[in-house]
Amino acid sequence: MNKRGWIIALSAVAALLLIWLVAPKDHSQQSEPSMTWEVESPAPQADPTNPITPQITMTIHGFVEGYYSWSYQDSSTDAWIGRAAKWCSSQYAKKILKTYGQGDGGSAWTEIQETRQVSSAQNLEISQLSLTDDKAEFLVSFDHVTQSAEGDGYRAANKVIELVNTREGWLVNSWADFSDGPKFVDEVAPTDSPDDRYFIG
Amino acid sequence: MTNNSAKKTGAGLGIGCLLIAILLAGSALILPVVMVAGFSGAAKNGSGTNKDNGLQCQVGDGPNVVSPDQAYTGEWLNPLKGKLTSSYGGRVHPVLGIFQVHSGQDISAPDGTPILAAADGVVSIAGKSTGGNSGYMVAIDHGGGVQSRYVHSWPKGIHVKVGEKVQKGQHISDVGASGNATGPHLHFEIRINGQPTPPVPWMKKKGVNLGIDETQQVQTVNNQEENPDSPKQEIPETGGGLAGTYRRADGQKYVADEKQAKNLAGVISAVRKLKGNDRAVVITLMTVLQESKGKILANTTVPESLGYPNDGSGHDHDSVGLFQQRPSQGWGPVKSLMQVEYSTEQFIKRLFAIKNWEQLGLGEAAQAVQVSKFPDLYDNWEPVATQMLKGAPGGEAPINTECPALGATTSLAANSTADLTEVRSALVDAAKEGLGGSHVRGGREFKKWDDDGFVYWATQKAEIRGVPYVDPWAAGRQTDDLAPGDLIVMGKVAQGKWDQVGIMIDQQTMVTVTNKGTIEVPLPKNPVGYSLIPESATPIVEEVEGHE
Repeated sequence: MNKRGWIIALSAVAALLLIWLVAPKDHSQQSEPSMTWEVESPAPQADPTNPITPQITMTIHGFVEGYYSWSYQDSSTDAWIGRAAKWCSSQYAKKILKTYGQGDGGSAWTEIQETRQVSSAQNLEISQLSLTDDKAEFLVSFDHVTQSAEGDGYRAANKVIELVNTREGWLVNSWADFSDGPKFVDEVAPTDSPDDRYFIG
Repeated sequence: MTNNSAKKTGAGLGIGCLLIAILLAGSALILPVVMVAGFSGAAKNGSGTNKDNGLQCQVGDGPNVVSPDQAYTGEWLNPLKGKLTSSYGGRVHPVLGIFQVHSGQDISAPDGTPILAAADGVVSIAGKSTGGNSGYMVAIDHGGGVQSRYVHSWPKGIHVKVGEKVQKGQHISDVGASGNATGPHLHFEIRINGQPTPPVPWMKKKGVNLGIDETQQVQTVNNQEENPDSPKQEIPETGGGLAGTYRRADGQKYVADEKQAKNLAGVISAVRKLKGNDRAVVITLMTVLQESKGKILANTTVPESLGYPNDGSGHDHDSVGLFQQRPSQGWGPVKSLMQVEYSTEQFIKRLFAIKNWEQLGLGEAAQAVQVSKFPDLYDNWEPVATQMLKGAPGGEAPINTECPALGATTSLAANSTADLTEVRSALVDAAKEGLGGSHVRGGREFKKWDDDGFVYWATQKAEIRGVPYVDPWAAGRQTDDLAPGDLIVMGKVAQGKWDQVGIMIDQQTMVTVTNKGTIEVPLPKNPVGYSLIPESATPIVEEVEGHE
């Protein structure tokens, strides 16, 4: 092959590579890790009256269900991280890995295995807070369910999830508590500070 | 900018900073003197005239000394049993940043708890204070220039009249949170010739341990900064009343036996010793409960640990003790990690080393220290830890069990002409006006607030009075018949304690404050509501003959 031939061949390979990189990926077609527990949440359905697109709904469901998907049957403590991180922007996936990917399972993993605990997010509801072409925020309400040999528990949870629109579609960019928690009286203002507005007259 | 001008600017800035520092230091030294002088004005300017009741007071040897001939010489008693919180003295206002003198001792107790006259005397104030800060109060003159003051009752919680003779132990008023109060408590003052004096030592001389109630003192152990009377205790001998049944956030039951309760009381004691506040105590308890359920665990793979006193053993790596700390990871020697105080100290040191740890969520802060592999596990323990902070188990009742509905204790502003519909509408308008801005924990400035600060601001704007800064629903009436303007609460963490509060705008939405600022969000499923709208449109104006 002459020089021109090489250039054409290399250009073609580069172009194919670029197309592969740019093309949006459908997470739903990626191979799912085997799940051995039942997730009771209904599969996301497209609703024409709802401004939240099916792709956004799928990303949120995928992330939240992955985030709370640890099980005593997981082959490693990091299994849930893999299931959640694939719905995240690379930046947020790194953050999750940094927060939860270090160390070992500790006493929590021992307890999960000994009590045969399976965790899941169920009854997920999504409410839009803001939506632009690049970024969107939603209030996510769900039940964090833990089933174990010691009994089942569920905790109603509310979180704020932020999605960014990337070349790979809508991906999770942050996940935070909706509430800033309870207040403790000892922390706040003293008794006799000036406040003329309190009582008038 | 040239080097020269930069140097000049730098020098100017340096001198400016120096001047500001000198001014601030001067203010810090002078202000307390000025403020104390202000408090003692009645004694000094009026040569013993008590401005509260217009009577001539007998001045003793100094402004804070009572003439023994004139003063009440009978027995004194504790006006209220409860937790001692803010104590007498100078301090920098945490929000305004200015120096103030807190002129009394705060005693925390549930709303409506009876307050008793500490000694015989004549009522000189019974009603709304003219200054506004104190809200509704009672003052009793005991002769000889001695006056006791009982501050922050609700309007309906005053049970005596000006001029009435009262006897020690008489029920004079109820605990409330009117005026500048963060929550229900009694602000108890002793004034000598019009000047406030530290009430704890003064009452101690009368044989009274102010506020002391053994069942409520768990959280004040080794809390000398907040409570001068708090007992010094290395490791409690007992569980301090913490043994019993609790409910976690996920509904699971947790039973603390005497051994676990003793360990957990020891953790609280150790955190207080390190000057940890309530938030630090709750984070530490959540961690211990998740890691070991409050048991000092030895480890079968660490034979040394089995030789120390323990409540059982685990087998995770080389993790030992209450916090499951690993000697191989630099937490400390095995022997020390098997001790309550040392292991707590190691945890607290790492917590305090986290920048802005107080801005993190409770579970998030625990996670940051422990580096758990699983999210949100610590959050399940938030109700248990919060309940333990109150000093006693919450019982087997599910966390969402509600108390019977009580009436709102709010009132309208004295000069308000609004009817109740207008007040409700004004509350909705105020909530909408607050949209935007940023989240500031503990803040009450316009759009620089948290959810409590936002609700407080909105209620003031709507001319509703009697709403505390913190936990505003405590002044409201629980309602199933939700209407715009009602408070919506979310995330119950203990009886009467919620994670989040907002104001209902319509049947679909509410306004609240998250770390994204003040935003409109959909109503939660099965919303729990409280109405702050007063029972009556008639503003409560009570005759007040005394003045501060």
